[in-house]
Amino acid sequence: MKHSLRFYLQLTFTLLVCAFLIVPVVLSVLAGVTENFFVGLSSGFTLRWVAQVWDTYQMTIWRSIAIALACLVVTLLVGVPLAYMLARHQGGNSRLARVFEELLMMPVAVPGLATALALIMAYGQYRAFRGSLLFILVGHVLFTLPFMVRPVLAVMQSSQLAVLEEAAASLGAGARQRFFGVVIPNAASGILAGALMVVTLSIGEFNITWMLHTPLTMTLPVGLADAYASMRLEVGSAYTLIFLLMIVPLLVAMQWATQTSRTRVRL
Amino acid sequence: MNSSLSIKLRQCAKTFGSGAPALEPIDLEIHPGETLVLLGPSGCGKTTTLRLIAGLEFPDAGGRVLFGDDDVTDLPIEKRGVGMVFQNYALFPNMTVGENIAYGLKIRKMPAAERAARIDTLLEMVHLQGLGHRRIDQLSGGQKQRVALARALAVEPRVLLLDEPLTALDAKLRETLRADLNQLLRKLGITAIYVTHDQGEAMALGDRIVVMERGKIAQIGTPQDIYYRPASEFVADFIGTMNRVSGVTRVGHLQIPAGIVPLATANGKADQQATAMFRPEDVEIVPLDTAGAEMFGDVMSTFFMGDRTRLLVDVGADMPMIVETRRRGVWHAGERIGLRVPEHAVMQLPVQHFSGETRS
Repeated sequence: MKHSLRFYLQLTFTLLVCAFLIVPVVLSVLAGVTENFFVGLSSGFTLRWVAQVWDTYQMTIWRSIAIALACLVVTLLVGVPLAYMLARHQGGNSRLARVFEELLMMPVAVPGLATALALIMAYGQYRAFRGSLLFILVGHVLFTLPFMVRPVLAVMQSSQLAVLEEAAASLGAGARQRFFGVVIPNAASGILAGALMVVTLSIGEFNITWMLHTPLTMTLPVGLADAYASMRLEVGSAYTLIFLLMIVPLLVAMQWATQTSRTRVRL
Repeated sequence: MNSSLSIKLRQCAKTFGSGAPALEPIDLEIHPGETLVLLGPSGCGKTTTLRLIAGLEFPDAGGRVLFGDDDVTDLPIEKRGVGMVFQNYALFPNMTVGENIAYGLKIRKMPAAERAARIDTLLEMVHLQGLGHRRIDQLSGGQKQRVALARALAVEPRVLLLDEPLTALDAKLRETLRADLNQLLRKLGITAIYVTHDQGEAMALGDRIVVMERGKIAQIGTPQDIYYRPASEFVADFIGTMNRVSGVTRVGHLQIPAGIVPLATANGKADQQATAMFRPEDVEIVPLDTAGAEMFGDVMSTFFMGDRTRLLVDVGADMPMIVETRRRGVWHAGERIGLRVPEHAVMQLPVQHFSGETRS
C-alpha cells in the first residue's frame, strides 16, 4: 500500500514526539546499569548500583508496598460503602451527593504539601502517631479515596442498581445478602479499577509523604529523592529502574481492568 | 403453588415528599387467583399502587395492606412472599440464567440438587429448556423477560406482581409473550397484579381492570364492562376510540346535525341537550338511497388497515366521526355516505357528574 508524503510527515512527527518522551526514561534506566554514566556506555554494564539500592533502600520498598496495601484495605472498607450510599441517595445525582464528591476531591486539588502541613499542625503533637507509618497512611488515604469512590460510583450508577436490589429483595434477600450478593459483584469492575488506581497512586505518592515522613518512615519515592540528592546519579537511576519494575505491571493491570469494565455488556 | 391469596387495600394513599399525593386514599380488593390489571396513563398512580402491594413503598398513615387475613402493611418486600417482574427485566448480570432463577431458592437455603431440578422445571415452563448456563447478555429481550418470570415464580410466591413487563419488547414479541403469560397465569391460578398503560394488554390479560386517573380509581370492572360501559368520559376516551355526538333529545332518539342516533333513554325527556357515544366499529355504512340511512356525512379520508377500513367522516360537528368497517370496498374522499348505529351500541354516561376538565 502506498502512502502519501503527508502520511510520512505525520509519522515522522509522531515518532519524534514519542522519542522525546521516551528517551529520558531509557537514559535513566541505562544510567542505572552503567558502570560510569559520565564516561558513557563504553564503561560497561553492571548490576552493582541496583544491588546497592537494594541494600540501602530495601526497607523503603517494603514500606511502600505495605502502605499501599493498607491504603487499599482502608479505601475499600470506606470507599465502597460510601459510593454505595452516594449511589442510593437519589441515584448519586442529588446536590448533597455532588457536594460530597467535590469535597472528596479536595485533597487531590490542594497541593500535597498543604495537606501534609495541615495534618502535622493538627496531629503533630501526638508523637507516637506522628512517628508511625499510620501517619503517612492517613495522608495516602486522604489522597487516594476519591480514586476509589469515583469508579465504583460510576459503575453503580450505570448498572440499574436500585432495581436490581428491588428484584433481590422481592426474592427474599435481606439488606446484607443484597449488598454482598448483588451490589458488590455488579460493582466489581469499578472496584477493581479503583483498587489498582489506589495502589499505583499510593506507591508513587511523593508530595504528602515527603512532608510527613521521618527517617524511619521513608517510602520509596522519598528514598528516590534522597538517593538523587545524596548519592551517585547511577544509584538514583537504579532506584528508578526498580520503581519502574514495580509500577509498570500495575499500570498494565489497570489498563486491562478498565478495558474489561468498558466492554462489559449492560443489562 | 400455594392456595391463592386475596389482597385488600384499605384507604391506601401515598404522598412523596411534600408534593401532591401520588395516590389518593383507595380501597381495592383483589380476589384469590384473579389477574387484576392496573391501567392508566403515566403518573396515574398505577405503579405506586403496585409498589404499595409489593412492599417497595409504604402507604401514608391510616392505610392498610392485607394479604388474606394478615396485615402486611409494615412488612418490607423481602418478608411478603411476592414475586415481581420488572419492566427492565432486572436480571442479575453477574449470574447465569440458572443462577438468576435459583437466587430466591438459594436465599431460602434449598439444597443444590433440589434447586437444579427446580431450575429445569421452570425453564421448561417458560420455554427456555437448555439455556440454564447462558449468560444474561446472551439473551434476547423476550428471553430475558421469560427468565425474569421464571425467577419470580421459582419461590412459589403468594402473589405475582408485574410492572409493565412487556413494554420494553417489540410489538410482535409482545404479542407472543402476552399469550404465553396469559396461559401461564390461568394454569397456575396465582393471584396476579399487572400494571400497564397498554389497553390491549389490559383487555387480553385482565379478569378485571382497574382504570386509574390522577391518583384515583376511575373504574373497576371486567374488560367488557370497561369497554362497553365506561363509567366516565376519561375511561371512554382512554379505552379504545369513541365517537361522541351532541344534539337534542327527541322521543326515542337524539337529533344531531347529521341525522339521528337511537337513544332509548331519551324517552320522556324531549328537547334537552344530550351527548351520546358509540364505537367506530358499531357504525354501519348503508347505501344512501335506502331507508336504513339515519345519518349522512362526507368522507374526509380513508385508511385501509388490512382487516378493516377506517373512515373519517364529516358529519357537521367539530370532530369528524370515525367509522370502521370490515366490509370490502373503496370509499373516496368527498363521497357522501349513509350511516346508522344500532341502538344497543349507543352509550350515555350514567350521570354527567361534573369534572373540571375533559380530555380531548
